[in-house]
Amino acid sequence: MIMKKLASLILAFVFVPSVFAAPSTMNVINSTTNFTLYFNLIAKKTGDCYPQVRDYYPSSVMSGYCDLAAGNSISFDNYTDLSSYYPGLQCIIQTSAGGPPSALQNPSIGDNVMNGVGMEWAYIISKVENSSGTITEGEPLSFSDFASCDGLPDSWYQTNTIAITYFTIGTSRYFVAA
Amino acid sequence: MKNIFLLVGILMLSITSCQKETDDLVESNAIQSNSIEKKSSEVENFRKAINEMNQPKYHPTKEYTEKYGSELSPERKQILLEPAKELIYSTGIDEQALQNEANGDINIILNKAFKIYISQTSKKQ
Repeated sequence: MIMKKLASLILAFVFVPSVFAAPSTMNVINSTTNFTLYFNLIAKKTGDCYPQVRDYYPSSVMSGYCDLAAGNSISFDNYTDLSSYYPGLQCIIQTSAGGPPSALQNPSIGDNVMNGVGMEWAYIISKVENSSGTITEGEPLSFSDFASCDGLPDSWYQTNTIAITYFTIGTSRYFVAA
Repeated sequence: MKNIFLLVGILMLSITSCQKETDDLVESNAIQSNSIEKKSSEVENFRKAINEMNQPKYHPTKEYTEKYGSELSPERKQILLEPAKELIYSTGIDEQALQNEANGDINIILNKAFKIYISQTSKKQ
């Protein structure tokens, strides 16, 4: 039943034009000098928690996470844009809490679902790796407009080493490791 | 004999001309190098400002987040503002043009500076 719902959702958004506003521009910045940032970005329906779309990078060196070297930045409006930095990037769609995630989908399918129901960049999971190869698992972070879904903080840090924050400036969204 | 003088003359002219071209090239490279260095210093200053405003002591309080959501606090925006302007000016936009464009909206200035910063530090595919 859930699989049928998922399939119809994907099919519907392939063919039905969007009536919702496009998601915000998302900017990911690693302004550290010695940490590699690994992240996955999850988009959710605004005012709801499902469906949700997350990226998966099959060529990743860190189990599906996108990587961003120290001093590098990226900016994108949708998953297709994101895949220009991470060739072969795929999306996973989940329609309900506890529901099965879809098989890997082309990023354009993820974008169609995202635009079709009015989704926004909602939360991010991340890890950082220092120049000695030590990996630290980051706390999942959430924008405050999705606090009712996740109740997650919008920042985490290690004293005197790295701080990771999520914030908006107007309609643009930023995820910064510094 | 006349031909030899003519040949020497042509050779000297060629050498002088080549020397001038080399000098021009050196000068042009120096200007370009200064420009890149200047641009890099503004990018670096903006990066340092990002690191400064990202320090835990500036992270928003629960009360601030409840009231203003994820919007960057005025204090953190102020830390970014001057380096952001300098970064924008380094692209050739002058103060008046920026004032006209932003019309007092600090968000326009900061988003513009971030756009420039990201273009200068963009991950290569």
